[in-house]
Amino acid sequence: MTPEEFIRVYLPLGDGLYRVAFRLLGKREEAEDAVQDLYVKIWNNLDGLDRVDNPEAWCLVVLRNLCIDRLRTKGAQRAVRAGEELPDEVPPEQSGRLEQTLSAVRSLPARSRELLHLRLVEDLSYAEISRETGLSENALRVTFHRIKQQLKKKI
Amino acid sequence: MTPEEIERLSLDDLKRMMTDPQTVVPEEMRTRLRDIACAARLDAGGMASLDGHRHESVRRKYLWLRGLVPATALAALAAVLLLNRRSPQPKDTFTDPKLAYAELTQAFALFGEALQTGSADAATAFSELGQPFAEIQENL
Repeated sequence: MTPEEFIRVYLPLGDGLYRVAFRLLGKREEAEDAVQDLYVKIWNNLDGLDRVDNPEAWCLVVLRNLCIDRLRTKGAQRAVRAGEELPDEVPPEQSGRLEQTLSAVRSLPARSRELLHLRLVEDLSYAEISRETGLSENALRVTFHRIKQQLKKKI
Repeated sequence: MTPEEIERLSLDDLKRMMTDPQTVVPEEMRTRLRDIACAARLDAGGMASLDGHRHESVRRKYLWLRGLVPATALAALAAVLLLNRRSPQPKDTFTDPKLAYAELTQAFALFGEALQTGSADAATAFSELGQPFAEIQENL
């Protein structure tokens, strides 16, 4: 699967996947984290997803498993806090490249993230972003240069 | 829900939850999804597009144009080769050179004879054409 398909096919499922995660986990923040974990997992296995015929069903099954893992991990942590022994050691989540890049993106101010979205995802030119935001093209050049520098420090 | 309860859910149950209008998607989730899309683009080499170049996906979309010229040249070459193979090639019909010479001589003789007859006919025609002009000149 290409990065383009990831954005075009898998990301639009995000709202629905959040609804499922929220119903299963009962907490907003937990549900958001579970959906994010799912997307990191998908990104880290892009090549293996060529064989997936039904992306929606595949995402639902993986998300369900992620939610179960989260609940079991929390249960185990509660047991440790109560002085009981941890039944099985839970391996730490392997950090992929997307997670690192995502963390760099999320560290940017909201305005910069909006501009980044217009440029990278909406694929707008400087002139189009200028019309949309009211910022001059020169100001945009400077802003994007700064964003790039900030990202490079963290990726 | 407990992990055991979740395990018992079918795919249809999960699909129903997906479209449940009672669960409102918070703006924070939408922002996260937008950030994931940005991160994916950056991870796929989108950093260069921040300098003002068109996005990688757009460049990739028109990448095929780069291959158009060599492809056209290749197609033309293939067409020429194919036509060359299909056009009939003259075959040697004589194995005996003496016989071939005799045939050629006969062919030239026939050609010469036809040429002579043709020239004689042409001369007659020209002389007949000249007659009306002579009559016109006389009457003038």
